[in-house]
Amino acid sequence: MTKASKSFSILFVAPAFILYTVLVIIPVIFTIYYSMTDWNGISKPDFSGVENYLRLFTSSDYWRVVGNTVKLVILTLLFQVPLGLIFAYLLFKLSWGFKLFRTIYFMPVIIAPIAIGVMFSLFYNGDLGPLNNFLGAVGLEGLQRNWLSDSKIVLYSVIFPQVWQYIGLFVVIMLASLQSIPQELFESAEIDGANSFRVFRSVVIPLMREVILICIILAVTGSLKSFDHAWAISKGGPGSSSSYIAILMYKEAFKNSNFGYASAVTMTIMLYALTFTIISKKVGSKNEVQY
Amino acid sequence: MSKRVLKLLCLTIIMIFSLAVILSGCGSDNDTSSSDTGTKAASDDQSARKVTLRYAYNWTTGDSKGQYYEPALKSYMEKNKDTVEISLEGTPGMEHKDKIKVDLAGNNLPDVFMYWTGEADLKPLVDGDTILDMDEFFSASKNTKKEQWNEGAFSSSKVGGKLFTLPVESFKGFFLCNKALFEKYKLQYPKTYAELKTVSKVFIENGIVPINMASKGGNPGHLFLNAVGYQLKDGWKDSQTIAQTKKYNTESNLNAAKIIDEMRKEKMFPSDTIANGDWGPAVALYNEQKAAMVYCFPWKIGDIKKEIADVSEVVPFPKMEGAELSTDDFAIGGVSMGVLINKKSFADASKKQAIIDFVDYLVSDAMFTELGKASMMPAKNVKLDASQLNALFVKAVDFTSTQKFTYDPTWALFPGSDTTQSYADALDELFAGAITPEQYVEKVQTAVDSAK
Repeated sequence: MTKASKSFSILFVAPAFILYTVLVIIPVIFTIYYSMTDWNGISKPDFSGVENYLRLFTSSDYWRVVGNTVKLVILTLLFQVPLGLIFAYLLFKLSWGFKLFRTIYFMPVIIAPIAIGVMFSLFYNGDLGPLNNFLGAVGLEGLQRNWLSDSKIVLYSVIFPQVWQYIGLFVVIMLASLQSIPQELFESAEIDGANSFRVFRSVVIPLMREVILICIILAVTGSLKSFDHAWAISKGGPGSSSSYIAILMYKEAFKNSNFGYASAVTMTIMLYALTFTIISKKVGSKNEVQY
Repeated sequence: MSKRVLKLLCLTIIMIFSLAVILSGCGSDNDTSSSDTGTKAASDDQSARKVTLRYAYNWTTGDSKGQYYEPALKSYMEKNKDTVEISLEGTPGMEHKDKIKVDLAGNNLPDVFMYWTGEADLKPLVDGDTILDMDEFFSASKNTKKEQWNEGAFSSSKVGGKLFTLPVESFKGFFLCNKALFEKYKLQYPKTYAELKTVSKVFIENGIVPINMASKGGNPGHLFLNAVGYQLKDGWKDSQTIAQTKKYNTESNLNAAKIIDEMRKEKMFPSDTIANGDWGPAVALYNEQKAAMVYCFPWKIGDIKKEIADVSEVVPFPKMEGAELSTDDFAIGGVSMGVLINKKSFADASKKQAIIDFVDYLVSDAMFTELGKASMMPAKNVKLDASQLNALFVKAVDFTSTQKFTYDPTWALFPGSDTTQSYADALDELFAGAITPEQYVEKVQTAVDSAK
């Protein structure tokens, strides 16, 4: 590369780099600083070292919300990504109505999460909502519950709409990847006698490995910073039964005015997300498949 | 230089300029509100120049007061457009508090803003030296004077004996009964807890929720809890002195929690107290005649359907067993919101007069008259024309004016704002039956102990 072309390369990269630095890197640096202070958002931050982290890691509330977040991550990985892949494959095999079904699957994704949350909070209302009414109407009164007040099930009530909403996102991503697989590979597999399931297992999944990994990373990192659905439906309650780490962060910052402690909570979200991403990339980069 | 190189250079310069414009837009334009008083000696020319003020409030979309408040604000803006430009920052509900906290953290506090009263909320702003001592405002204003309020209205607006807000919205809780439902089942309005249990059984047998009361984020349950608890021995005293004693695990608070727990077990509340909690659904069941009674507040009157309001009676809150105070004599209430002034903005000579004039308008009789149409109880002494007001609001005001005392909710009396979230969370759990009354009291006590 000549000096001139290097300079132009730098010039073209510079705006995005500057924006990224100003909007992401610098706030992260400030958050690291604030996480080591005692700050109510009004007075000057008072440096407190690792006190916030010590308080955090010895707090039962924190580990409770971490547990809730881990459950969300597990259920997201069990349902959102696999169902996204299965629906994408089914769509791929469709001979008609492809665009219609793709639109239907993707529609929930474009709705604001807060709107979905408010909608489900009405569905779940034990006294006025349609869910319990429907269960009663079809003779399933035994399944009627206080979906949001029962601390044993409220977390799952809150997880369901979130997992459901974003299946469509992974359908679209995986569908795009499926469509980039050469048609000859499918034809070869069919000639060799493979059925749909065998093609799916032996051709589709290995070739989509990278994309599946990216979807897993997106699903996990998205779950780690979840806030909207739980806040709209139950405000993380009763107590912290349906709270995630991000809700704890929000409550500490904006309800308790503990911006320093909230920053420490934020840093743990970043730490978990980064750790997972690095491990996933390392594990995923082995045994790449090419035909 | 070749044409290609020249083209690339021009494109780069355009991109860099675009970036510069974007970044300058991200910067704070706070310079005008965080002045360093270098312009104290204002000339006559300065006062004639158009001033920009930022006003933040929460009576906007979703609040019944918004339909009167915002047109009133816009009317002022229109009349004074030659001398002042007011940038309105309306954020609904409790999110307004979050917005102000973010503004504070970013050193970008609006020039004038509404905020909640109570030491827990005001003290951090006072300690940060961000808000104006209102005695300075009263000295400077020709139209607004302290005497226009009763002294009692200022109690939750003071910190360290100094006044920091101009009280705007006051409130008192009142107990409503659906007369039609009571007549349908041939019941009398309950005067005691025992009678409340009796009528509740009848309603439950007929598929009606006795009391439309729940808790999500502590609302509105904390007010109901106080209406129960303050009747008991030392109930009000324990709350009144909590900032000094830092004791929540008292007998009165435990007994109040036990009564709530018993009411829940007796199915007096909706079965799903989270789904039916918070202010949104606070009168939903009552509105649909699926609940017979509701502990209501002025800001919910606008949400009650006319046909339901017409059959609603305001009755005394039932007397609890062992009550020492009568609900004939007291209401849960106080001043919920007031107007605050950014101290730095007031010190800016170019803005001072505009702020005085605008705040005079915000607390004028004309503004209170408009807000009265939305059933807001004025904190200031002002006469409202009853013929212009909601009939249920008139009933509520007539009833509550007979109650001698107004007691602040515990929420407003905690030593710090970092206690209120734990209190709200614990209340949600108590109403949902997720914790026992003993666990509830201990949780709140732990939060009080850790308050800064």
